[in-house]
Amino acid sequence: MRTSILFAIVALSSACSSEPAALEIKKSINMENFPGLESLGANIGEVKLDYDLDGTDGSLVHFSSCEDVRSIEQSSIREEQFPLLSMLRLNCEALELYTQAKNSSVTYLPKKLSSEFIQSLPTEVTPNLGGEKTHTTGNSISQAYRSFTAKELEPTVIQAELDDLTINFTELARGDFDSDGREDILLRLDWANRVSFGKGYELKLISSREQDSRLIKTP
Amino acid sequence: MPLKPAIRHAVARKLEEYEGRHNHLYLDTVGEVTVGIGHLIPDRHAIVSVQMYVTQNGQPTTPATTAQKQAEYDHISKQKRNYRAGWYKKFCTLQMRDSDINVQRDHHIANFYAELTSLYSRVNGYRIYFDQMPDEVQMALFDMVFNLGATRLKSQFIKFNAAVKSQDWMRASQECNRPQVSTSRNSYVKQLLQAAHRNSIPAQP
Repeated sequence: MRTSILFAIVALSSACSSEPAALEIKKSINMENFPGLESLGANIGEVKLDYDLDGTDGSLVHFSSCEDVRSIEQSSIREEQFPLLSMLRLNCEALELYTQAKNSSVTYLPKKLSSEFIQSLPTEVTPNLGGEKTHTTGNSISQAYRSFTAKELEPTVIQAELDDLTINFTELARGDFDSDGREDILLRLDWANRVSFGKGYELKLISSREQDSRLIKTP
Repeated sequence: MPLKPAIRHAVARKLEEYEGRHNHLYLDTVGEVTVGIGHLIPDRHAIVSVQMYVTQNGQPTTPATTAQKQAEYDHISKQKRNYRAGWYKKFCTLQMRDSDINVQRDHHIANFYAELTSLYSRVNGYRIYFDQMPDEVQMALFDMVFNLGATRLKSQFIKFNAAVKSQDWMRASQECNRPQVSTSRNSYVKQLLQAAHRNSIPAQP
């Protein structure tokens, strides 16, 4: 499965400092936001997992490494757990990006996720449910959604209600993921539709590169 | 007009395949307490109306009290998120009966059916009503609405609905893709619409 990771250059919100700090900023990871992650390593091959899904044959399918996740056939996992399999794949992708990331030398990002920061993100940092786009590219979430409420679920998770969607904006890691010296955030969007059975996960890379600019680049 | 029993049976089977069937509480993708066939319990007050039972030897016996249900709700809502539904069973003491799960499921299907018949009607510019559409199309639309809800199905799948409006089932099959569902689920809906297209072509003499 090809994962779409959004590279978004976000404008500084009031939550961000106006002057970036110029120093070495160590990359960091929130291991508690990776269900089943036992330990990291120097590379993706050394990551240890302890996670189970239900197989279509009635047995438990155990994942102890990202190689296990990569090699599993979608058809061997029960359909109801397809979203969780997607999450595992995204987590492994995020872990690989993290092990390859560098420390940053400058940041334009807030130290902590906040409701204000989430509202300032472009609408591309919302789940893609298919069909035709209903928002103008470049608009912020606060511009696009009239009804926006958010609360801090945990220090690294902001839960937002956007129309019929509940989205947990989950900070997975920080670091320089695109080798430009500036700090980026890897966010996983865990979402569910309140009026239907829709649900899923997406991975977004938030990259703040310039003060007061708002450009979107998708690889 | 009531939904045809064969269609109701088929969509109930698919809904169970997509959501699973769990007689105990568990957490969904965002940490909301859920039970049965993907039935969301939005808060601890809503669990009062859910039929749950105290178990003995793994079997539901006496109806749980409001206090027992709310205590179970509070306990499950504090667990870690993003695990398979079965993982939460070890934290549960209460169960639903299969017959009550079926009632919940049928209630959801009836609500979605009402939304589909309201959306796909002549009032909204469709040439035929939902009930007049081929069985395969009705099943495909159920699959779409299960996943998207009626509002998003109407407002975001504009090209798809234009194809439905003109009863161009082949074009609808090309516009029904949802990036968030599995390949097999997308294929299932695509094939239903393609079958409706084939069936709509008059047989050559």
